[in-house]
Amino acid sequence: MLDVERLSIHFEDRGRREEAVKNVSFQLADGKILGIVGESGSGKTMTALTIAGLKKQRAVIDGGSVCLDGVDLLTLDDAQLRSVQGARIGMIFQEPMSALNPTMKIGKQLEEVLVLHAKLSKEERRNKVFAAMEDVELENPRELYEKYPHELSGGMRQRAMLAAAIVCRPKLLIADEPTTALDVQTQDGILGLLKKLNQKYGMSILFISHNLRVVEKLCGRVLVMKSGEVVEEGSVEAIFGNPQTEYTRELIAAIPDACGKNWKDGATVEQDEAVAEEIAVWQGEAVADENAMEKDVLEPKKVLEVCHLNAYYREGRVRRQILQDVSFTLHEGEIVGLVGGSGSGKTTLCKCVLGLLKEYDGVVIHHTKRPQMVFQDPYGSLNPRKTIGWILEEPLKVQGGFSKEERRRKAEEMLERVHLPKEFYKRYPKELSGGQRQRVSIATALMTGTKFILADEPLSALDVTVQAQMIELLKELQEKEKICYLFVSHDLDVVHLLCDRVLKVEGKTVTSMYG
Amino acid sequence: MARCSTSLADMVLYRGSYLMKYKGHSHNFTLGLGITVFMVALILLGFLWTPYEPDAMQGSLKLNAPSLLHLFGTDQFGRDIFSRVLVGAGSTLVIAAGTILIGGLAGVALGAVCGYFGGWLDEGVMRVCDALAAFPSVLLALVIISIAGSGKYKVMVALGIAFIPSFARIVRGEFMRLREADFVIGARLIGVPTPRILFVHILPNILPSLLSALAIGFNNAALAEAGLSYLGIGVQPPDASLGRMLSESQTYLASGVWCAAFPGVFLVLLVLGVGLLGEGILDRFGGGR
Amino acid sequence: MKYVIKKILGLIITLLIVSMLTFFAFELIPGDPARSILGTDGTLEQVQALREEMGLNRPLPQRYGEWVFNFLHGDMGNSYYYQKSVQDLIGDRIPITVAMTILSFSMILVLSVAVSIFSVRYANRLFDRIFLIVDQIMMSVPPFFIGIIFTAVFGLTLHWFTPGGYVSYEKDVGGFIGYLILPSLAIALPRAAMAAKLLRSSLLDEMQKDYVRTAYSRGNGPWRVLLHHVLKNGILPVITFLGMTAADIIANSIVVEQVFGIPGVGRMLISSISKRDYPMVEAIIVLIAVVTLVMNILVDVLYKKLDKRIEVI
Repeated sequence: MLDVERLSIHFEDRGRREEAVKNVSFQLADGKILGIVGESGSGKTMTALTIAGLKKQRAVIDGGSVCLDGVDLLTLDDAQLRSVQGARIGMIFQEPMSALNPTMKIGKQLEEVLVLHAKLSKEERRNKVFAAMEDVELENPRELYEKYPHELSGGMRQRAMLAAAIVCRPKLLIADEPTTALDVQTQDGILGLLKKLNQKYGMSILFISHNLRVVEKLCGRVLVMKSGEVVEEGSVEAIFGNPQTEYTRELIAAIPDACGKNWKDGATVEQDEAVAEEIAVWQGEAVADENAMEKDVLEPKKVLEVCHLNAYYREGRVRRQILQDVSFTLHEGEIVGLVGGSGSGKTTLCKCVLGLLKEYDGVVIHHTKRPQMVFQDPYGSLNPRKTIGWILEEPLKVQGGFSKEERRRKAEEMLERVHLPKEFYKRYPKELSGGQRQRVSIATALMTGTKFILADEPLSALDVTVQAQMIELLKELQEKEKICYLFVSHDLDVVHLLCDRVLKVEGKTVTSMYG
Repeated sequence: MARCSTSLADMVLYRGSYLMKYKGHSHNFTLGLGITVFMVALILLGFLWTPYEPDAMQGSLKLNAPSLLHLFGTDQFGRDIFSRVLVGAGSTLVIAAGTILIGGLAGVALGAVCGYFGGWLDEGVMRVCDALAAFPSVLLALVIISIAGSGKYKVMVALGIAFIPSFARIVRGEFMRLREADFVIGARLIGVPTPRILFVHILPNILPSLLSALAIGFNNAALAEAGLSYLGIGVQPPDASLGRMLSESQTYLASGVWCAAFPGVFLVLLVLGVGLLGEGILDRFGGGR
Repeated sequence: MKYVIKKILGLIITLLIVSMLTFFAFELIPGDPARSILGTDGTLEQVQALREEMGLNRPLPQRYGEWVFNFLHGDMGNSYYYQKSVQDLIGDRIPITVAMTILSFSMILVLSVAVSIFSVRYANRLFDRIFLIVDQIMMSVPPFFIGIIFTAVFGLTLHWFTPGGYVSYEKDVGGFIGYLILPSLAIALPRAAMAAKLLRSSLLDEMQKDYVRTAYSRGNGPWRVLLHHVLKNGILPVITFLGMTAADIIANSIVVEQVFGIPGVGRMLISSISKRDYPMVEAIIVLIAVVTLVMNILVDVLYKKLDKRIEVI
């Protein structure tokens, strides 16, 4: 049905020619699901967009063909291409919030597709829209019709986008990282939905992702891309069971392995609870256990104590309670994970712990100076107008008592400790990659001499291979410097790999789990 | 995300696709800088020397068209227009510069504090600023002038005060945007004292927006001054002013269009140059985003 | 609803502040109005008597209170210079200024939207290039200079109108509007240029957003995307800008009235300032404040209605 043959695309970036897609060929048969995996820069998105007819003018096609049922889409003129888009090819994207028009009602957005491609009466269109909403398991279609995207949750928006993509029953659905921005539960919902639609309507799916686990769950065949080329192709079993090329092996190895836990069955948070039998609300008994275990070893120093914390959120005159009677203790050299769905209160907890939020009662005690934080977005966490060296030296300037040379020496030392070259001292944040910036953030945190770092999703914006390196670094610092981390993440694989224990925030309380 | 505004200069000079402008390369900036420097140099020259005395009337040379002797021609009193334009532009320059100095300094101080701290201070100051801002700033200047009288420095102070709300608002907006930025929170956690956060950490990131706002402010002030002088309540004789030249020239429009054309075009060029420069700064150094 | 009430409250407070500032400011001025009216001939008793008559001896807060009270009833005091009531003197000028303001505003709206839509649709092509050059220049020209140019070109050279030949609306409405077109255009052009540039920038930014890509993926063509999707989202910053424009239009109309010899409120204001006719100045300034503030509120309401993310009223 879909036949891509020797597709080659390049674009010019500041006078330099960049080969984005090189001689890519593959086929997708009717009713099958094909996954394309690769890291950023692999060309997978460019390929997908080109098939969908959405590539930018800057990207120039050097050769090849994209045949849908025998017709080469690349040779169609604008009007012809438009008649295909939406009707025979549907597409869904990564960020459901930004991918939907914020000022247009959901219903109208779905209806628009029909207006463009089908000659139906208003009544008929409405019915089809409701039918599509039911297909994607959205409740109350009539109510939902009148709502705006920001009134829906992330999962619902993704379903709405899906509904719009399938309302004309396209033969091909292209999904560009549709689950990356979602938490695990919602992810699984969408994946299930895609499988269902594939079976019900025989709709082929081209699934683009950098997340190999998700691809493994959904797809029948997989295409691995790197730097614009197809590296390997095969069935899911073949690729994951017996990868032929080194790159594929690297990719699979970099997946955080949940230490023996069987994730292949699509583990959800519920299953987690079943597996970890020692669920105990932190009451004090566990402290005794821990002390008992480590009697011959020096009792680990406490780093953070949270006692009977009640946190509130003030909205005008209303005060809602977000957390209730939360207590836990963290020790030197521990990596403790903090998990919870969105809106569970883990952000609130973090802010209270760091003293950024004042609406709480209860006690938060830090046994270390200047607790630090590493942020999710490596692009916002460093002052864009200052050099790395300046950023690193700020904590020293605050402490006072260091000469210019001493500061520089210490800064360069720290760069080495996080495995960055000394030359970076003079560079600006924009010259560094995401992973390198995160290292600088960690380095800056360490400069304060603190023993506690709150890491808020520090790895989610990074590529899989870079993630693996960062995990190495964090573990190394844990051992050498005895840093205690409170590691917030929604990626349970990473949490289980990295953390000694896990705190879960749910229903206003925090439960402790041992992984 | 790259800024999508495009530059006049790019239209003229650069043939590529300039839709996505990447930083570090701006024709707006070069062109704007060029024009501005040229005009300012000319005006500064005028402070020291002009071809003729601006007030020197030569009855025999009334309303002469532009020639080699008189580049811009002469007016109804036989005065050399080129000299008058230079000196008049000088007033405009001084007043506009003074205005953005006053308005800018006060605006930054006010905006920084209000934007970063928020709370009742912010509310209070912003209400007053709103009250002033809803008001045409020229009118505010008019009120001050009608009380204090007109004249070069009074106009400058009046306009300066009238411009404080708009600068404060812009700076406040920027500080509000950045106070929750990760690197600012990081600085707080490190223990950096607040004044340092405001002026060493945040301010440099705001500089391009601020400079651009100053450029716009300069232009608004220059145009406002011209308007006030046109009406006769701005700069008073013996100080020369482009606005007054324009008003005087209106009666002689039929016989000597150059009396109006040159002062007007000179003003337009100055404003154009500074405007392009302001745009160019944003292009080249980014808006801090 | 709560929002509108809050806004109106803000309006009242602002008006109070402005009127107080104006009123008290003029009181600081040295010089005795009664003396100015009577001239140097007036004897001390005459001056005192006049002061008593004008109520100048009463305490300041009381005079302010009375002034506000009267103002709300339409009595804006008496002009020192003309010795007639202010509202009589400016009553027939107000419609003129209002007409010009409305004309200018509409021109700005229509011109900026139309031009920037075409500019964005054909971004980078000839139309866009020419637009940007003309636009930047237009932003740099003061309205009164445009007025002078219009006078020179359309009046003196092409004889399309007689400069200074203002036509009263009482005599000939068509001619009245006709005469006002060029002055309104002179005021409108620079602001329209700014609005167009802003709108173009905003629309271009919107075009880079994800939902536009989604719209294309469904088969929308470039015009549909622009008009049905992007315009509504991109117009918001321009609405705010337009709100601020009202003040600017009025300010510029003061000067442009002078250029074209139009007997509007602006000209009266200027002459009153030079004549130190304070009741007149106070009244006009407060009137202008009222108009600008009301316009601001209207614009804010419009903005909120369009931006669905903020709670609709």
